[in-house]
Amino acid sequence: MHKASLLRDVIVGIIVVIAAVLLNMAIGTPMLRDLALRLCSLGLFAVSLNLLVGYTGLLSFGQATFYGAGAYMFTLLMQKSGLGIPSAFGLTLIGVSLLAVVVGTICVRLTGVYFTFLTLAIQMMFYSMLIAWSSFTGGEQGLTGGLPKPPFLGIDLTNPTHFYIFSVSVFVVSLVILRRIVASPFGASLRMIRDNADRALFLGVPVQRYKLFAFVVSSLFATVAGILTSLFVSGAFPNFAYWLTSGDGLFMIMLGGASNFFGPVLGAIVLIVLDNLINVHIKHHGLVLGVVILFVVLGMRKGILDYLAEIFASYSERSATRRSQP
Amino acid sequence: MTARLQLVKLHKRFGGVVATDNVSLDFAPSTLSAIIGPNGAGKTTLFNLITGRLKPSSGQVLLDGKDLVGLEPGAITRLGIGRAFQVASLFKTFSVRDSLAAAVLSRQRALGDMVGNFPGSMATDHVDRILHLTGLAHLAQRGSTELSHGDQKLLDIALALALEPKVLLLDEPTAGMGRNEARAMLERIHQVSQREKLTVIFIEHDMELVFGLAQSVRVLRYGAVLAEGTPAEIRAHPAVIAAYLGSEA
Repeated sequence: MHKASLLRDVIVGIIVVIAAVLLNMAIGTPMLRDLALRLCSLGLFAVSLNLLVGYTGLLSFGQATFYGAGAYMFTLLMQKSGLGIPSAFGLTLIGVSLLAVVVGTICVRLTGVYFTFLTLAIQMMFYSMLIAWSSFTGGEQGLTGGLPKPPFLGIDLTNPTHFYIFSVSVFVVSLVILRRIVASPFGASLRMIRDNADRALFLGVPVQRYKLFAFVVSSLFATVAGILTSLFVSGAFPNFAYWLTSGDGLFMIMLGGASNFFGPVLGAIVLIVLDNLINVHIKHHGLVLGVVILFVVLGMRKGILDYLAEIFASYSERSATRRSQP
Repeated sequence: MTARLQLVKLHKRFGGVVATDNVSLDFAPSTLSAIIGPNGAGKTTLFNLITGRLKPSSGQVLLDGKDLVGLEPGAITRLGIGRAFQVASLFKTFSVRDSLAAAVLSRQRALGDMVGNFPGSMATDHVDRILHLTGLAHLAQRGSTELSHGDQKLLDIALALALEPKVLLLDEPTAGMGRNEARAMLERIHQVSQREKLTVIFIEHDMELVFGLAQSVRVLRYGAVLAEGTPAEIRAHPAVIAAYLGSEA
């Protein structure tokens, strides 16, 4: 299914970063950078969730827990500890992955709708805690008051261009890693679990343990997305960990397509574009998003990229038969 | 001769129902044994007890003398008990070759690798050998679910073979097949068991097929062993004739 090689992915990744830099030099408007930055965090969030939903068959409705936890922990560390960005980044990854191990251990024991609702329930608990523990989390206001961004390794994230290149690079590196995981034997074992967990078990696949791995890896990249967002908005807010954020993640996956690695990225692009078009002109943006989802679900019955891939596959198959029967 | 697989006073009850009643059976290495019995005789339950899907209420399952009771299905699989299912249990988005590669990598405990490429080249030789052994080589690139019913059953068995088991449990390998197709399937299984020196235990309904191929036959009824012996002995066994063969006629 995935004939990707690491070398090719790395080269493509470098080209994307260079292209992003050139684009910024050509039309470096704040508007463009804003869109790109939102794409980096939302797109990464959706791709991380798709590791569970699309590849492992675990429909998590709690991905925003880790997105929010990442943003809060990172912001708190930056505001209170005086650490540099790289160490706060690393500590946040470690901290949230511990949280993910605990939450994942509880959740992956269940399957189907029970798994989904447990992830949702834990997310709501986490959200309530963010609201209630206001001396620590700022309550409903969130962590305001800015986020200090001391320069590191010659990178100054208060400089818009630096921050733009930093975000794009983090996004690209994360995607290269996730793509490698998906194309690896471990990725294959996740698809085995998705297709037929029972059979995988009788082939000696440690199903529960691998589900937990997938859960933690997925949470780790949701954390990275959360950190990028907190850097972008210079703070952390409770709606990061609200169920609507998880819903957006699923929305992007459905829109773009779950069986293609880049489907959720396309979904993020569509969501951001729709958001921008709609919020400017109409108040009822839920109405338009709903219509789009209806169109995708009822009209195409799969995400946009899956749909296009299918058309392309049937087209090349037809032209192959035509060539073989002149 | 020491037994490869030994069931000792195996007992399983579901509430008030006794599904497996004091079953003691020995299976010698490199033999082909059939388990027959009417519906509800506890044949599949017996397989579930051996493979760890179910835990026996009491008794032992010994593989080369080691007790398997209480181990997880995955651990029992790794110790050398492979299993194919009554309804072919496959990975629908995998090709035949990829399914087998995944099974081989699982055997080699290489599925946790997050860096390498799947299927990669490590498993190729092994996969080719199994494709050849099971006669699925010409279908290697096909999707698992594109196969015919018989080939799906064969792939299911091939997946179990990829684990290099010592004991292979086949739950009705000929279910849903015509007489000729079923005969071909059992001959293929016979061949594989001979070549791989496997202990094969299969559940079968068709008496004629069983008597043609199996070296030993065990008859279950109401969860208990009604009779065991060579096909000729079973054919002449009065209790079997009364309980099973008689009712078939």
